[in-house]
Amino acid sequence: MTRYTLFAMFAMTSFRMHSVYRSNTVILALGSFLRLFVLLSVWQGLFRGKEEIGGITYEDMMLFVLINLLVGTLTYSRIGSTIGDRVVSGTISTDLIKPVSFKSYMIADQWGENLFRFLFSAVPACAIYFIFMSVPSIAAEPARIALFLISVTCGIVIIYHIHYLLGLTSFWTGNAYYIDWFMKAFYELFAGTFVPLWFYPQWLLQIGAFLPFRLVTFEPIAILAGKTGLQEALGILALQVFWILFLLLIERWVWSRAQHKIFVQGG
Amino acid sequence: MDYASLYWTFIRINIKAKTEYRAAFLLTFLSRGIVWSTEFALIWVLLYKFQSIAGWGQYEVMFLYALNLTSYSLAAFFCFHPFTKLPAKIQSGEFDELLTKPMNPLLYLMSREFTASYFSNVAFGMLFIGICISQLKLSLSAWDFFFLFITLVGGTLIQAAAFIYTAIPSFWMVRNTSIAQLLLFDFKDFIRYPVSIYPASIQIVLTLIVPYAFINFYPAQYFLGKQDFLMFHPLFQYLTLAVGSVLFAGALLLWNWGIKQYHSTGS
Repeated sequence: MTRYTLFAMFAMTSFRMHSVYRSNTVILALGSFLRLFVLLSVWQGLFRGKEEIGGITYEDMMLFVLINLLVGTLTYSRIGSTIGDRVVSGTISTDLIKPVSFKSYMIADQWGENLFRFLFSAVPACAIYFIFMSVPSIAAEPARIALFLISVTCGIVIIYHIHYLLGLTSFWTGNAYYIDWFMKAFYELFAGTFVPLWFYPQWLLQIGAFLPFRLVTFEPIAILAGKTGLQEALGILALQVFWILFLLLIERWVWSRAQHKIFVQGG
Repeated sequence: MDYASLYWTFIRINIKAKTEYRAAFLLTFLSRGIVWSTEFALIWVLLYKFQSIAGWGQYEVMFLYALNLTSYSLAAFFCFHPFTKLPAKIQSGEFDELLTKPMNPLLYLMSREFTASYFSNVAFGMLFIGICISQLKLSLSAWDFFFLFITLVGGTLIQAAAFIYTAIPSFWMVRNTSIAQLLLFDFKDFIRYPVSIYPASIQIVLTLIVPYAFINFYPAQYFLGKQDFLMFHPLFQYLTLAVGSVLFAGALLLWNWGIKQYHSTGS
């Protein structure tokens, strides 16, 4: 069996595992819709009496929030805390003997879960919104849509690797609880998923520019919404590729040391 | 026998168990604190360019957040573990064992599973209230501080009642965690922002049916000197404790009735 069919198999297993709770999906979708509704009410409230702020209109924000919800379920990851928990409990030893690289297994597992959330939570929530509220217009040309798809894929690769790397740190620290909290805080603050970076104060933006988090969902959506020029969009893609290579390099190094670490502990 | 001292002993043991490992306790304290601080700061970022939403300024919306966080955390001390884990306990039969103890099951659960790590939430919640009061330059008299205390007590009772109400259906339906999730967490997203930004139907629901608006929206106006009472009477700003007491008393009655009706799953 090739690596890819194995990967797909692990992803499908995880997808099926989550589908067991299918009766929950209506409520899951309703929950997503509620959050969507709250967020859009907030933006509506903020834009009340204002045509645009810094070139951004309420229409832009609607598109941003909806796509953010869809992409957000795909970039969701608890890889870090999963690895941490397994290191702490010792079950990681069975993961390491699986006939697929540990990283691929972790990512496949997450991918299956995310696909489930995407199909049964985010898509229905958006559908409810389209039916009962309104449909935002996407006036993007095909080139932008293609660039968006490429960069959002890169974004997903980046965030999975960051989580994976953070998870590996638990080989040394021996616990896991800080991983999720840490990621939640930094990601929310610098990714621009809740408040898009267009509305950030300059000093905070400058800190965020050096971090990879904005490349995950914010920059791809900015490309799609036409707020980034095509020239700049290519620059964003180059930056994403740079970050992916950089993260892969660190990961290789950390992984080789982590393996030694686990031998020392005796598994 | 003096039951009160017994319950108090349970709580003390819990606090001791958590604070025994100082470093771990401190790490949890800080990592949670970072997340609350990020959420708190993000409201500031959200309103940075817009300055206000429905007439509520940056620190006024942040004050809403602080009141919600503090009262939620005070309730979660006693309610988070007992009531979110109740379905699992009923499923495993652990709950049946608990009913055979010569103690009030509710008080037993609340004291036995007191979660000391919420000290972090409460501390940061109070800190945020303090920050808002000083940033808004509110001059509060002793009576105002007393009323703030009363408001927090009322808010805590509302939040605690929400925990209890969402757990009660599990006496009859095993596995309904997602309904609870929806009411407890997703639905509460509404009161992160001034209720006046929502359509009238939602304002009515949040005031009369699931009266979360009394946790922060109405009482906050007393301290901020606002007149944003929607279609309701300004008297509502004083009613938090009354609403909380009624809801909590109702929750207790329903809980007792639920236990009487309860048939074990037999596992």
